[in-house]
Formats: sequence, C-alpha cells, structure tokens
Amino acid sequence: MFATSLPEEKLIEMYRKLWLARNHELLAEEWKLNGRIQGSVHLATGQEAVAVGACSALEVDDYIMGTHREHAQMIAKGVNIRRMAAEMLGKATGMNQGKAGHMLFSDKSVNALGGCGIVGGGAAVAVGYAMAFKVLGTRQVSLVFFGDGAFNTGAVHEAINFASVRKYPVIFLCENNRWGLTVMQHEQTVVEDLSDRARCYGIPGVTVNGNDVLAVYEAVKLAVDRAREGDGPSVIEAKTWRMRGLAAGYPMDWEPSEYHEEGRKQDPIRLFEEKLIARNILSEEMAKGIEEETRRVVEEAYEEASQAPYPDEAVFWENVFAAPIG
Amino acid sequence: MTMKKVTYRQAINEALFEEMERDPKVVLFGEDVGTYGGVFKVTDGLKKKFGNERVFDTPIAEAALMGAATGAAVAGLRPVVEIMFMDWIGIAMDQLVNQTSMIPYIWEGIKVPLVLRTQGGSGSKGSCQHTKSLEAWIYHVPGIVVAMPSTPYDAKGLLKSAIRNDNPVAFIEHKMLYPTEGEIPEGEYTVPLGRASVKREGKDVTVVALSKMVVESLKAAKELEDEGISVEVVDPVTIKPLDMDTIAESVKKTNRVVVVNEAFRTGAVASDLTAQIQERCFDDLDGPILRVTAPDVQVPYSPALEQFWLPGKDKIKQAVLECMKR
Ligand SMILES: Cc1ncc(C[n+]2csc(CCOP(=O)(O)OP(=O)(O)O)c2C)c(N)n1
Repeated sequence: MFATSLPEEKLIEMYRKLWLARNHELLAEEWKLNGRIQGSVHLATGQEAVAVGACSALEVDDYIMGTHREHAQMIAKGVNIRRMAAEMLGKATGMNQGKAGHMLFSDKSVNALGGCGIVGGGAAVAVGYAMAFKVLGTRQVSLVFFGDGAFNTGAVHEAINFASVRKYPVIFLCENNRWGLTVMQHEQTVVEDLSDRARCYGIPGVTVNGNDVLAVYEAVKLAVDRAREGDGPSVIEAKTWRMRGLAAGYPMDWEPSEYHEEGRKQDPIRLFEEKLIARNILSEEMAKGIEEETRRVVEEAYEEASQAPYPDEAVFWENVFAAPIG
Repeated sequence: MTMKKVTYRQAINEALFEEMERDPKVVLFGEDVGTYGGVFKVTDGLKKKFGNERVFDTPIAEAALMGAATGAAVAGLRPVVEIMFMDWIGIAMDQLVNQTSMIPYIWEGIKVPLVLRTQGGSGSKGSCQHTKSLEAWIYHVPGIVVAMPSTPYDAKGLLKSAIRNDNPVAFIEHKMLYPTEGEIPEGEYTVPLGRASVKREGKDVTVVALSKMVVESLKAAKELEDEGISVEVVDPVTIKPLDMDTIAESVKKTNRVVVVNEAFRTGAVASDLTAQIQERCFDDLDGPILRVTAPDVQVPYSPALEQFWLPGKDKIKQAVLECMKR
C-alpha cells in the first residue's frame, strides 16, 4: 500500500473532500425535498471515496468525465462549490449559468468536463479527450466515471476497445454501487467482478473496495502512471454503496435490507477516519472540526446561491451556435 | 356507458394489463419496468401479475432492446418495449430505422407487430438530456405508425389498438401528462389508429396540436372565447398515418390554421403538417399557416430559462391572434 505513505496534508485533504462531498449530498437532498432544487437529483451519498480516491490521483490538467451522479466526482476534481451550488439552483452565477443543472454541469478551470445524463454516454467522449492528449503530446490523461449499469451499454464497450487499440491515455473507472436505477447488478449481468471484462480488450483490469479511498487512489494512480507513459488505458472497478434511493426522495423501503446493512459497515468516511486516527494523523476533535467546517462551506454556498439572480433571456439565446458562421 | 376517472398513467397501465391478459403473446420489457414498475410507475403491477418471462427488467442496452423486440416480433411475439426517455432513442435508432421498419417492406409476408413505448416533453426541469421531443426522427422513417395521445381516453384505447396492430407502432407519451385526469369507460373499448379527434369545436381558427400541446391549446381556446374568438382544436392523435380528412374538414370551416408542436422548430412534425395542410387546403386558407413550436435551442435547466423554451397557452394565444389579423 504505497498510498499510506502519502504526505499527511494530502491525506487530510482527502478526508476533507470526503466530508465536503458528503455534506453536499446531505444538503442537496434536504433542499430537493423541500422544493428548493428542482428536477431529479441523483445523490452519491456513500460513494464519495470512489470520486475522491480517483481525483486525488489526477493533476488539475487531467480531464474527468462524470455521470448523472456527478456531484462528488466534480467536488473531488476541485470545482468551486459556490458556483456549483448556484448551478444546482439554476442561477446566473452557476458554473454553466444555470443551463446545465445537477446532472450536466462542468468546470473548465479544473477540467471537470462534465456530468452526463446519458448512461454510458461519457466513455467515448473521454476517449476523445485522451486522443487529443496523445496527438498533442501533452502527457495529460482522462478519466471517465461510469456505473455498473452503464458497463452493460454498447457505448462503453466500444469506447474501451477503441482506446485499447489506439493506446489512448484514459482510465475507465466503473463506480459499482450494484444498482442501475431500480435493477441490481446480478439482474443486468452474470459477471461478478466487472474489471474481468478488461481482459477481453487486452488491457489491465482491477477490482478494488470503492469505500476505501486509499485503495481507489492506488489503483487509479497506477493506471494514470501507465497511461502517462504511453502504455494505454485501464479498467478499474470500485465496488461501493448507494446510501440513498435512485435519486433524492425516491422510496427505499423496497430495497433489500442486506444491501444497506452491509453498506453501513463500510461507510467510506468512517473507514478512512479510523485509519487516520489510528495513525495519529487525525484526532477526533479535528475530525469533528472538518465535518462542521465543510458543512458550513456547503450551507454558505447554498445560502449565497439562493440570493443570486436567475439568468435572463439573453443567456437563453447565447451559444445556440457558439462560434461565428461564415 | 359507465365512466370512471383515471390518470393518463393509469389509463396506459390498464391497457397493458388488459392486452397482456387477452393475448399471451404480448411481452413487455425495458429498463426498470419490472420489479419497480417503471420510473413513472406506468408498468406498475404487471410483472407481479404476468411473471418474469413476460414482463422483465433489462440491462441498460437500448440498441439491443429495440433489436430484440424486432426479432421477437418477427418470431411470433407481440413485444411492448420501453425506451425510458425519448432523449436516448438515438441509441435504439439504428435498429428501428434499419431493421424494424425495413423488414416488413422487403421481406414479403413477414410482419413486425411491436409497440415502442417512450415519453418525451419538457416542463420537468430535466435539462437537455431528459426533455426532448424527437418524434420527428421516427416520423421521418417509412413503415412506422406514430401515435401521440393527449388524453387518458385516447391513451388507453389507442395503446390497445397499437398492441393488436401488426405494424411497428411508436407510442409516444408525455411525462407531464402522466398525472392528468380524464374519463374513460368502465369496460372494454379501443380507439382506432389513424383517426384524428376534434377536442373542441369552433369556427374562427383551427388549432392542430400534438400531445400535451392539445391541453395547452384547449386552455388558450377557453381564454380566447372570452375575447370573442372561436377556436377549434384538432388532435391528430396518430400523426402517421395522418387523418387529413378531419383536419381538412375543419380548415374548410375556419379557413385559418395554427399548428402546435412542442419540439425544436426546424424539421419538426409541425413543419410537415403545415406542408400537408397547405397542399390539401390551399384554396380554403385565408392566410399563412402559423406554427407554434419550441425554438432551435437546447432545453436549459434553469427554471428561469426553461420558460423561454416551452411553448404553451400564451404563445398559442398570440399565434391565434396573429393568425386572425392576416
Ligand atoms: C442511455 C440511458 N439509458 C437509461 C437511462 C436511465 N437511467 C438513468 S440512471 C440509470 C441507472 C444507471 O446505473 P449505473 O450506471 O449503475 O449508475 P448509478 O445510477 O448506479 O450511479 C438509468 C437506467 C439513461 N439516463 N441513459
């Protein structure tokens, strides 16, 4: 485990990001339920370690492509939380001026490009990012998040094969919470460890505990190093736990209770916290402080966003064609 | 006939129940349609009643869904396949365009009796990937019946006809109509495919409206009545093949036409209806046929922006008034 030798500040930063993402999801859920956020809000509560582990192994220059469950992924990549909150509310001060909303937002300043509501639809785009990096010789990599459900789409398989034959620097990160929306993994595929599929494409594939932020970090770091050296793409499966229903407010009473019992034992924040405390990197007091500080940051971002103006009609007509014609 | 009040959602659900009961060859599959009963709960209870061989959840694989429905139809079943949101019909489109629609024409004696159920429409703050109305794409292709019911009555009766029909039928629902209520008979009835329905009689202007725009047009007509303008609202119900006789009869009476379609303006079904009406009714027209559509702009998330996109009652009223001036 080389990740355990990471500098303490980096480990604390990862811990803080886990809380930032968690507190974001808790607040977004509350705001959705009391009608202050509109539309379907897909929460990544419980899945934060996949996003934080993965993005901690990337540089700012590296691109990520997220999913419809993108909040934690984008927070992990370092998007500005105030502009993100404003986007969630459809405000003019949002990172996409309110045009994108909670499934599709992006932030070019940290190369978080971006959410994707078409399941499996982001994989080939990430291959394209990597194509550009290879052709331009930039040593950047791209990483695409996709779910276990998405891993059954043709689009994802085509993208992996394409990238492997062209040796593009891309990491395919399957965030396996064992759910599609309402259909569990075993009803969508007979394969247990989805990283086994990498073998079909002649590239490395590994399955890790997605609730263990350091395990995710290590797997992604190895894949990133490989990709930067010109050795092509990898597949990583991070098995995790969807703490909430398919989106905020959806009933959970019908979901199998074993799933959540198992999940609760694996809360990614608690797992990491225990490790850090055992190694004297974190005290319980510091932990509490970080939990509270990140909650305040999120609350302030949302309060500020709720005061911000909505975009006006001019914004609506902008960028229909984003470049001049003729 | 004893009538009862049901929602659009219940009406469709009843049609599915009754047709599956009547004909063991009817099967129903798609993403999340089984155990959970569909993300809009339209297929609620069907799996429980008819079992997992006839009603089932599938992997996320729209191309395979469409192709498999086609093959199953050729080989003797009557599949009802669901594409959850019309925004990703593109994934299924190749199968639909190059298999489903082609087979009956070139393979003499072979029929493809399937129903493709999907839903489109905006107003849900769904942003660009969960809001589009792409019926024009399917409408463009020969050999596919396209139905877009606007009321619970039409939805139930028409779906029953669609399932019994030996052609491929695209049955396009509107997400904002699911909770709307209307009267339907207690007992068995069907509504024929290819028959338009005059939803309101009037003498000054004919409004030809599709899907949810029928509801909006009726609201507009009611308000215009107070201003002394009598609007006839014609719902084609099936847009292909089109019941031109009913439309032409109305135009003969009013001499003025507005076509209303919630879709991107360029190449919308409204454009084609306009062309068909002027070809057939040119001598009866007192002025140009006007269209009310959405603009050629992506559907933005922000509630403040979505309103600029959405066609509805006010824009319809404006168009009718404009039409009266010409
Ligand atoms: C192409 C496509 N098909 C279906 C859907 C509807 N849908 C949204 S999320 C989802 C489940 C995705 O499962 P998974 O990839 O495992 O991601 P998770 O939701 O578990 O994060 C489905 C079927 C969609 N958005 N896009």
